[in-house]
Amino acid sequence: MASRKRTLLKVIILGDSGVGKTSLMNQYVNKKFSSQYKATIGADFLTKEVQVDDRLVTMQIWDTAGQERFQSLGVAFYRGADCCVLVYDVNSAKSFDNLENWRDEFLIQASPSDPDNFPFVVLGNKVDVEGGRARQVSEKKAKQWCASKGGIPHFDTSAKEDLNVDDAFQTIARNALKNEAEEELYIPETVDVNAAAAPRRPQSSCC
Amino acid sequence: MAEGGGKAAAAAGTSGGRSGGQQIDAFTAQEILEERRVMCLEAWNQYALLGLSDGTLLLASPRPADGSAGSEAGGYDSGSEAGGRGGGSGTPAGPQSAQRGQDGQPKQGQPAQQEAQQAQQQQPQWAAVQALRGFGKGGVKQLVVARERSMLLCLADDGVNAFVLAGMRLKGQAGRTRGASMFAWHGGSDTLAVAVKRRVILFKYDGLEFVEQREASLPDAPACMALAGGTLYVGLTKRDYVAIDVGTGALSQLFTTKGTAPCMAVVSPSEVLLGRDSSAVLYGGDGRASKRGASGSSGGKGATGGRRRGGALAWSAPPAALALSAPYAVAFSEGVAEARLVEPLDSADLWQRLPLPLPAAAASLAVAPSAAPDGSLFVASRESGAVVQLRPVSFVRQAAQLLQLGEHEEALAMAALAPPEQAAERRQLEDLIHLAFGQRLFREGAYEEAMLHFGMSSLAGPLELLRLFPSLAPPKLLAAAAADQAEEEQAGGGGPGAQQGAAEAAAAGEQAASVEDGATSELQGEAFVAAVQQLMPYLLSHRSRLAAAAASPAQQREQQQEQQLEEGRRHAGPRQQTPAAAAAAIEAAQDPGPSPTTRAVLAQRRLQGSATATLLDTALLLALLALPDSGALLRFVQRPNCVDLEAGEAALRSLGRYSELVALYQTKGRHAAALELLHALSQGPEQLPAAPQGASAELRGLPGVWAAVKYVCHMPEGERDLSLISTHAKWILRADPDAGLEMFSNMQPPLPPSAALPMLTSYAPHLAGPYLEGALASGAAPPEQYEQELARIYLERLVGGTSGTSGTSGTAGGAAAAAAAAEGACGEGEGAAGEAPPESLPEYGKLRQLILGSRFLDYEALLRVMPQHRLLEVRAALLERLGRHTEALRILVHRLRSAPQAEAYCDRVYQRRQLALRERHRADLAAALRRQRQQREAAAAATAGGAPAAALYGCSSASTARSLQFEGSTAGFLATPAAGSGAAATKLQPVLSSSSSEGGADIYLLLVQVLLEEEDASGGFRPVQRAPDHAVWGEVACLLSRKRDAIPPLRALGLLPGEVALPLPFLEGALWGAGERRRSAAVARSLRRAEHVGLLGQLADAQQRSILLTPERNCSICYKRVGTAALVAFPSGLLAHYSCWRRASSGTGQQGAAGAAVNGGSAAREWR
Repeated sequence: MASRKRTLLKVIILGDSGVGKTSLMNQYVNKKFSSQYKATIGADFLTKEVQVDDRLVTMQIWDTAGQERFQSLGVAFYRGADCCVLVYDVNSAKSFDNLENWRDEFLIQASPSDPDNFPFVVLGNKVDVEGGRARQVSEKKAKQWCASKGGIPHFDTSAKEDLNVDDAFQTIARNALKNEAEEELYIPETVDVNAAAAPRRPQSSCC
Repeated sequence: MAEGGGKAAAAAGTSGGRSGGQQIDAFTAQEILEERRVMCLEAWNQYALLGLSDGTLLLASPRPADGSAGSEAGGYDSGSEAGGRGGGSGTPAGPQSAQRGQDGQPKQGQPAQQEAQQAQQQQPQWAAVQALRGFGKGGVKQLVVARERSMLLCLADDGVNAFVLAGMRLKGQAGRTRGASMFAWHGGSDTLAVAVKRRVILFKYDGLEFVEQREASLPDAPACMALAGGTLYVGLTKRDYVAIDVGTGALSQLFTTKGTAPCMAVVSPSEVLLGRDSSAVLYGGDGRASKRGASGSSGGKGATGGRRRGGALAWSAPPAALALSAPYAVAFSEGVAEARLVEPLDSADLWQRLPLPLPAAAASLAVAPSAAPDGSLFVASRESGAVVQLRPVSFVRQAAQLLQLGEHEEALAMAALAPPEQAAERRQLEDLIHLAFGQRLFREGAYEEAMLHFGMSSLAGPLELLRLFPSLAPPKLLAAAAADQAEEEQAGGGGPGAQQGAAEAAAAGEQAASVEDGATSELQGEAFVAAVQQLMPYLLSHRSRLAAAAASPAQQREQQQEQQLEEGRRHAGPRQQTPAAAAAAIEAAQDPGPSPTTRAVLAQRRLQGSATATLLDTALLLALLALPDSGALLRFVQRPNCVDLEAGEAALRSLGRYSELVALYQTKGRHAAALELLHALSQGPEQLPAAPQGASAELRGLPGVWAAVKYVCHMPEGERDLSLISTHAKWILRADPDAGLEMFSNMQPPLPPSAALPMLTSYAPHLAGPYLEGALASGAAPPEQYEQELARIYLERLVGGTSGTSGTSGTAGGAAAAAAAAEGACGEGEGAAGEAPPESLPEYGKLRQLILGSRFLDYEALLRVMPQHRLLEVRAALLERLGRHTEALRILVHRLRSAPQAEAYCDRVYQRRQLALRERHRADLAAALRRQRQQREAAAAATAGGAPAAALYGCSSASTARSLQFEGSTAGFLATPAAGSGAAATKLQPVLSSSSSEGGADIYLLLVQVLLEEEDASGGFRPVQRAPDHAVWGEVACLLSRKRDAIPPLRALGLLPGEVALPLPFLEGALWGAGERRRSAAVARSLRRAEHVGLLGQLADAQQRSILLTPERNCSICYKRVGTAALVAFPSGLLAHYSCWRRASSGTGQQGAAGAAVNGGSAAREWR
């Protein structure tokens, strides 16, 4: 057996400082929102159990610091991620433009085995601000970008109003699992009734 | 067959589970009743329903005496399973604990036994609570609860009857079922199948009655049957299984079992488990073997059991009956009940064998077709009448068992089955499982997975993580952090639950420690690096959490203070607070939302004292050291951190990572050590115990000097130690004077010159000047204090330079390579000429400039220390500032023989005086204006009494303004005495003509005088009596001619010795100049006059007005016609005879004033 059943998914949230990464995560995991901004120092993670189809998996969501001065060790966090969530603020064109950098940075640092098909999900956060009048990045533009990067799923979200957050993370979990399924080796069924004594837990083959 | 089964069972016994699965306490058995007439069983809510052979329905339930009967149905028991384990000596508890002992995991053995003893006392007693006689005619043969319909289906001699549950009222009857042998019910499709002899009749229940659908005939008499989806599975007495399509009635043969009898159990509405030989197969609702086991949840690799492909379960003996209590299927055979997982939770198979007093024959076995809400199964032996309850052990406990067995994944999956009521327990257990699983995975080398699991366990704090990496955690720090944590837990752990959790955590920690001790010591080489790489993010996240935790209490406290302040204001005012509290509160109030930086600072301060933070940061440092150098370590130590200095220092030093060490020293405020290290790195890296690595390898020589300079410059002001700076300034200045200078001038905030100067003067005197220049320019040094100092330094340099340089160069010797350029130049000059003229030093010019430009120098003092016959230019400059021009000019002219310098000198003096004069003039003018205004205001105040004619006032004010102008200009003229040349006193250049002794021009005369002097033998000077030589004369003449505008010619002539020929060029120039000045003055005067006249005309034009005089107009005084008499006009337009007005106005002075004014205004009257 090449890989044992994965029940833990590692998800990384990246994006400019202040776009709402921590808020999204908190809204999703703890159903809490605070409008007080507090820069994330270093990085931290939360875990959440999520049902994907008929599987219960545990998502380990890593929230990283957007501010560069807290980022020096970011590389360490990217390794072994199953999905990368890119967050921007729809009211800040700059944060959207930087997605490209974040994506590249992630691909360089995490160096996944198949960079072209690594699952990303893009979230345009803070759509609630001023009822959307302050919006600078249209959904169309964002979706165009996502399409140009190989069809990255895109969601308009609001951590404050809990808009689309669950859907987005459901997609994240699903894509992370898809990534895993593709990496697995297919093993034909065996009919050896007495083979149960074989090693049940395979050595993990991934790095 | 039976023999074969026995062998299989024996094999299972010896091999401890032939399928390699794990034995687990999934159920506990308890004999609850003895009822010899029992025919069939069913579970309903908390009741066990017993159908008796005499037609009685017996309801049994746990006796409410122990108070747990009510909750029994819903909640999972906490004790009775343990009762089974502790009380039933025949249970597998013995072998299991032995197994555990072998596994080296004796954890929880003691508490479990205690619990078991407790539970034994709590074991509920069952009793029949109700008996319904005559419930089923001729004996109750089968009971099934239709939960969806709240019905009890009962088979008796008169067929299948449906009763309303709870009330036990008859609700319906299935027709033509008299004499039926058995039936099956499917809740989802309301299908009832009844077997009558060799026929099966299918009914549909429509809510009121059972409607017959179709009938199918069977090849043999049925032994058991069950409905799954659209299929009826029937086990025949000849051990064949057939499937009948409910929709069509079509029958298909399945297989034949070699077991004692066919048996089956419903797994789900669409699945049924059929006993086949000594195994069981899952069949789906479509009449075919279910694929669930193979394709189930994990896409091709889920059925890791292998054995169970195609949905088969293997028992140790052919079962006589099957029952299902998720996730287990239980097979009953002679004397034993065997539970196995229907489908593996993760990969391992779990099983349990419970010895029960059961008969071998299926016919004498009664099994409840469904499990009670708590998962209990009921089984009875018709022979002995013993009714046994199989109670499931709570999932949490099962998970705990699995944890002890080392089946972590199964344990997690089992824990996930726990009902929400046990969420807290489950979480605690999961923490333990994740921790143990992580440790196992770690040992197996799956570091990433291990860390993921550690991350999910709240017990896997930094301490637990670091115990896996002894080399990252210095034992001393680990112990301190552990003590810290224990203390915290004691303080925080209020309830017994928390304490228990803490105890468990501690136990887990100990276990981890013991495991680690037992392990083959720490990882090495690449594996270690890989593991550390995985560890890193988790250490960092723990760090983030610590920081966040440290930051939040700070906020809370601030809020409290704010509240205090509020209350203080509300109740008694802030005066009643202690001053300190008030101050703190105010401070807090002023800073309602601390910026992230200040918060970080606060948090950092709090973290400093935390042993855990120290441990974490030290571990991070060591971990980063173990990883390839990416510069991250340097950045890490440069930021505030809690690294233990001792440990960090030792590690960094042994690896030669000195740059990081310097940064560490810096963040810890150990500046002396840092600078000492920089010194060593720059000046003698080979003497360090380990060769410098990383960034520090490049610090040899000058880069190191600059690094030290940067270090000193960035030292916080409060931590500056002058003696330390002084110590290091010495080598820095020696190694690179420029760097040293940079250091002193770039400190922020600047080092006071009083501290910097002594160092510079003692270590690098030649830099004191440049430093002070810079300090003066940047404002760091107050000029009034330090200009004198600078002048003194220059002077010393100039005076002492010639005598001292040789000494310096002697000591400096070959090391002078890095000497400053200035000194180098000086040295060269010295080498060439033997003694350098001080004039060639840059300080010479600078000193002169300083003297000429300064406003704060004490010239007298400087002059006193000035050497007598050297530095003449400087001396001249000093004399100039002292106003001793004669002496200065004599030096320039006679000593230096530099006429241009002398002339420049005079120009300077002249211009300075001109400037002073102009300023004085301007000040005078301003003062005069001010005076005028004051006078006017005073006058206005005095006359404000009641002048009737406001119009008059404008007129007079205009004239005063003009007169003021004239006065001002005349005052200017008067202030400049027109001495010497009267022509000079023109209006255009009144000031330039001034020639008082301070007026400026006489400086040129002085120069002429000095030029014409000669030195006598005694060193004094006297005017030349004879004609000077030609050169001197030419010079004087040229000078006079150039400065003819400034020099009064007559006075100049007076100075010239009598015998010389007339200085023609000078006189010519003077005359021409005078002529020109006169002409231009005349022009100016004419222009002024023309302007004046024009103005008067304009004034008249502006003031003229017309009065119409007609013969009819009267004098306003005598009322006679005005006629051609002399008249006056009043401003109001009235007319009067002049004579009348005179008469009238002589009466009052006021009138007179008005009349006069009117008279003035009447200049422009018009006659018609």
